Amino acid sequence: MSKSSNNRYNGDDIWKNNTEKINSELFTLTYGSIVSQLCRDFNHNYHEVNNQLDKMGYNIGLRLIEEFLAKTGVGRCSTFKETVEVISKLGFKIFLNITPQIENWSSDNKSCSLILPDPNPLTEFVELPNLKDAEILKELWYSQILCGVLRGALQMVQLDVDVNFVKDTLRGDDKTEIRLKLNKFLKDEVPAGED
Amino acid sequence: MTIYSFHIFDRHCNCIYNREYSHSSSDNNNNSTTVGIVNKNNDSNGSKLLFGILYSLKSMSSKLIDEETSPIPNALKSFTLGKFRIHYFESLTNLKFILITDINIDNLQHILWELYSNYYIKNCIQNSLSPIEFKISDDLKENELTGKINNHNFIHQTDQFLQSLSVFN
Amino acid sequence: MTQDILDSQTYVSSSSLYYLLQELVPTSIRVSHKLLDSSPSTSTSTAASTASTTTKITSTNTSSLFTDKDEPTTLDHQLSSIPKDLPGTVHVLDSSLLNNDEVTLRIESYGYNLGIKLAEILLYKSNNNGTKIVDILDIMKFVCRDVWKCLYNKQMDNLRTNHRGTFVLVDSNYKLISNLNSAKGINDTLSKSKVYLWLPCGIIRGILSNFGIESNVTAEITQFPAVTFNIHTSINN
Repeated sequence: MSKSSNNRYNGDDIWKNNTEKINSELFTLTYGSIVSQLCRDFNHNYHEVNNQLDKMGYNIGLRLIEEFLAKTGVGRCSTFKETVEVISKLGFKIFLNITPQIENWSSDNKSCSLILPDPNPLTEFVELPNLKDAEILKELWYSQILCGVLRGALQMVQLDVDVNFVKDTLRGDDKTEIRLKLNKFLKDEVPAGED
Repeated sequence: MTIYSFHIFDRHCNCIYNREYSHSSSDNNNNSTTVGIVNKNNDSNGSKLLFGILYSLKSMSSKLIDEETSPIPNALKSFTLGKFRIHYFESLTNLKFILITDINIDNLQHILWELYSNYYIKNCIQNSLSPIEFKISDDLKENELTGKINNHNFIHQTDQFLQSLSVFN
Repeated sequence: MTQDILDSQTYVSSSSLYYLLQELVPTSIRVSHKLLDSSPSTSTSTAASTASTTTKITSTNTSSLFTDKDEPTTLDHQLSSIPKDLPGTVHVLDSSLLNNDEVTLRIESYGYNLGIKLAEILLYKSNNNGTKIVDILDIMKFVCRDVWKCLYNKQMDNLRTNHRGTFVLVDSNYKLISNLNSAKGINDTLSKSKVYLWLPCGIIRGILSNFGIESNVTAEITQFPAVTFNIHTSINN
């Protein structure tokens, strides 16, 4: 299947008719209690918190991609541009019911940004306690789990992609921005003894 | 019409599931028990040959077309030997689902898709006690547990599903 | 799904929540492992049962094992120093820490903190619907109905009480464990599933705590995947 056929998959239809849903506040609270407990556990070392969230996300991504493919029946994308469209309009749509904006493509079409709506289902009602702890504003990426999910999921469809936050409205930035950079298309593994 | 066996290979080219159904006449009297063997020939030469032939056919099929311009990839779906037809489906995550049947069964793509999108998702992906990266270990006992799909629900449910098909026997 | 037309609440896919909740057990093991490793002085009591597996690091600076940079996860790097803990594998669940108090208390407290906050939101919403909560039995019904519906899109299947402060809640198909199935057989499935149950135990304790009720909540798997929650309070009802 190709570009033309992927456009036929409709995230809205799948979301409306084929997705079991739960209250997004419940999801927000659950994620929030995980982040705040990790902050306490690691004694407010926010790099550790980011890394632990990234690992959770990565493991989720490895599994979630299969459910995504099974649910959408989406075909292989022919370009990275098309992949990012699918991530936004299908992936984010059917799992989090949001459709991030895609912006800021590099001239080689290998890097771009996903702009998350504000608030998003991870950050609703969240305010970082900036007065108590100045480090948190500089170091914590509250929604880091999303980077892990995307990196893990893309790895499974043979895409080596760097994914990280560059801006977050929780830190006072003007928007919440995830940067994606395609490193390479991974080759299919070859059975032992073949070239 | 008969389904003889069901195989899954992962993207590291390892056979992570091997199910061979036996169809001798004495077995047919007893439908309640499943007969045949599970995960006994994953590392056999037969499995390696099967993978090799699929790999070669896949490589060949992609060379027959210009992938840049063709709207539909020249995907391998099945091929036929004198007595057998081999049905093939590969997910975008490079999991390969294979059913070996007699030549009277034309097309099992929807069955292969069902095995992936329903049974594999439910019993492996959504089962946190099941690995999804199947590491082949030198330790035979460990390999039995982590190098293959070996959970009872997957085996039992896919058996039931395949046996319920009119083409099974 | 019943959806009040006046209710402006938004939704996400329930899969998203379940993937997140399923990661809590491995994450709790990894965090506990890291903390036990890095602070031998404070871990002597909890590490007693696992002393053989805990690598003693005699560092005076306990934070030295904490990293000072963000490291993206990759497929071929271990997620923790637990043997063979690679992405996509389940070796982490075979850690001897699985049933350690550090781990189970951590999972329980994820639930407890969630329960406290969840009670507030649900109460606010159900008050608008005219639900009245006057005694402890109403609170238990609130758990069985509203809380379970919100979390699992279903209600608890049974509620019993001895009228002396003990309540038994039964979910005949508990969603968080219903797909768990170990290649090592039913006993392994059961012993690992039990650890996942500390989360709902914490949630129930948190909800009750929000009503000012101290409780002790435990769970047992009666017939997989049916789960019985035993709640002990000091309130005579």
